Amino acid sequence: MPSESSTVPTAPPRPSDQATQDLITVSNLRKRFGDTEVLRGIDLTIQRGEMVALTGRSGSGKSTLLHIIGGLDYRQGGHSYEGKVELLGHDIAQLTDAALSALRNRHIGFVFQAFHLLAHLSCLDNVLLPNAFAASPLGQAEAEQRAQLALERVGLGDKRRSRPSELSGGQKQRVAIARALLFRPTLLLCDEPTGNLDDYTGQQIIELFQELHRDGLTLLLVTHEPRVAQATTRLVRLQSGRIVETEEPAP
Amino acid sequence: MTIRQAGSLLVRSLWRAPRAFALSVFGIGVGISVLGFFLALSLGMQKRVLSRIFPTDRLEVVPPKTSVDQGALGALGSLLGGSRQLGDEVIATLRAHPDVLAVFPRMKVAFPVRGWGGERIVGRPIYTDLPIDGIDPAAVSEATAPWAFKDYVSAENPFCTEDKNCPSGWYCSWDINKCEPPVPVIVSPTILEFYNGSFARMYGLPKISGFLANQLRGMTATAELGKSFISRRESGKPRQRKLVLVGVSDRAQPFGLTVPLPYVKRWNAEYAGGGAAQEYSSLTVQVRPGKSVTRVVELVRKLGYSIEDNGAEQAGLAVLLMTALFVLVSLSTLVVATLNVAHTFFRAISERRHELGVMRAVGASQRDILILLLGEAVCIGVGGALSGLVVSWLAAQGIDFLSKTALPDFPFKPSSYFWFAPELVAGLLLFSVLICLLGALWPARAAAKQSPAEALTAK
Repeated sequence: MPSESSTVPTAPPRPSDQATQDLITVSNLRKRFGDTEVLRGIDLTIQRGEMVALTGRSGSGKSTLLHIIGGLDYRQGGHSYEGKVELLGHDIAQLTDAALSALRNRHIGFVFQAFHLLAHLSCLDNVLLPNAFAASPLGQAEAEQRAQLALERVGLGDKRRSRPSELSGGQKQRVAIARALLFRPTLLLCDEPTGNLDDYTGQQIIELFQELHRDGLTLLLVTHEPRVAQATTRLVRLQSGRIVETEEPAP
Repeated sequence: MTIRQAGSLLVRSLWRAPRAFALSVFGIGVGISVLGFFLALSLGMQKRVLSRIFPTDRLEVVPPKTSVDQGALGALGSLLGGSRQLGDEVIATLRAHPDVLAVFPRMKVAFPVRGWGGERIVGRPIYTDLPIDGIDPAAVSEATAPWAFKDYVSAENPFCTEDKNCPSGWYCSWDINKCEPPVPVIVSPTILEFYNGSFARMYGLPKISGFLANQLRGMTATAELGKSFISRRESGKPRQRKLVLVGVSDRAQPFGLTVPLPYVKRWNAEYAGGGAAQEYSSLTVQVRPGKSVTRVVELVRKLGYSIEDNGAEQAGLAVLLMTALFVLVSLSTLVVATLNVAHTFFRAISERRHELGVMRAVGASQRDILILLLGEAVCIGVGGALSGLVVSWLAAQGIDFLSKTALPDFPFKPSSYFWFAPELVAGLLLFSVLICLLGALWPARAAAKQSPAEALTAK
């Protein structure tokens, strides 16, 4: 993990990653839950620097696709899908649990609709959580400095000692984004990030994502909100487990 | 995940629900305290009481009591050659056994002896018949004073006609006109315990403590060989010998006096005939440290002799059975506690599915989750063991205090009934941690194995 910089915690692509512009390549992806086929042959490529919205009705398979791409659909014995998902050049089905966990830790940030902050930890400790599981964790001082910068980046520099219960929904989501940014990931995966927020707060979060995108971060957002989709550079619409439309929203 | 990171997460995880943690610790603590209490009691009884009454590293070999005891060869030997005697050849055979450290012969005085003395204890002389044993002086390792425990009769002893002809502390044996020191005598701690526990209370006499026992060293008495207060039977020519108490040893016979073996051999030869001076009443076989008495017992039985049944086996078995019973009760408590830990973990993990899912999302591996959850189990185990040990130790202190203040003295009354051996403490700590790990293992593995996506989306 790079530790040379203590500025804004977003990252340009690493030199080794520049060999390919394709950050995510999904080929003929199929996924079943029991008798129900949720994903029916998805083919999708996302390049570095893109900000892609994944939209569709409830049950269309958006979140499932996001989880698979993020390596979260993994249980003892391997993955439970068919097809191929390449992330940063790695076929994630071929990675061990430890390797996949390290990939998530260093290169992927997650933002969820329900925020998923740990209630017993302060904001700073929530942001520091990925460092606890890093193969080569940052030193305490450096990690705290970086977490503080991440909190300042999302406008919550003064909330480091606050507990999640003391924050509003928008603030919680900002803490979750700061947590996702701690290790300056290559990719930010967001599952309905504004789903629990009011319009105003949601708009602020969207603007924050756009800022991060301008700084070079690749984002994939699952959303059913048109305004989020409008803020992206590409829109992928799913219906009944299939990609039915890909478009680039008008500026 | 580094140990520091894991420790930090563990502490904060346990701290956020102190009540649940305390309840789990309590459950384990109850089981460990009961188990620790009874095991320490059992060890204490073995170490502080039973081992004083029934030493476990030595055997008392005696002639066979019946032909049934002797085995086929022994029985045949008895039929052909009379009863088996404990002689020097048996001692040599036993000494040759690799598990045997030493063999000390013991011989009983085979004729009446009476004596008087004890003014220093009760203020006036006590008159009684004296059971006297002779043992190999090498068997006594305890310090003796004012005389060594050995044979002082020698042809070179000075000639005398009265005591003043003899060196200080010696007296004149007028029947042989030789100066001799008094015959050194040792007594058993058992006789002191019974004196303190029974006679001292019955007659309002002073108890003999360690200090007083030292003060009594050098106390003299007179023995008259060949005469009895009880029987009219007389053997040989009665004569008197002075005795001096030189120490207390568990090698002495439990009730009576014990003197160096050569004295008894000479007295038996003179008063009971040559045969009585050749036949030992028993042999004390000292087993090498760490060796079991079992193989030596086998050899003894093969030779056609018996082992003195002093009740040690039965007493040890009784203590063992009692301990086993209490340990079973304690273990059942611990089984319940283990199930409680498992249940607590299942419930806690179910409640923390989202939290574990987030940890997985930000980079925790299955191993990390397992370490975290099992680490919590170890904390509960350590907490349960420490609290349980403290409670059992306090309970032991309470019992000892009650015994000291409320119970009358009795023979072998210990200052403490308990022994919290370092091995016991370490073992209970380890056991407590192990049962907590056992209780947590299944739920922790299930939690670690679950898909992060499922954990995050669980309702």
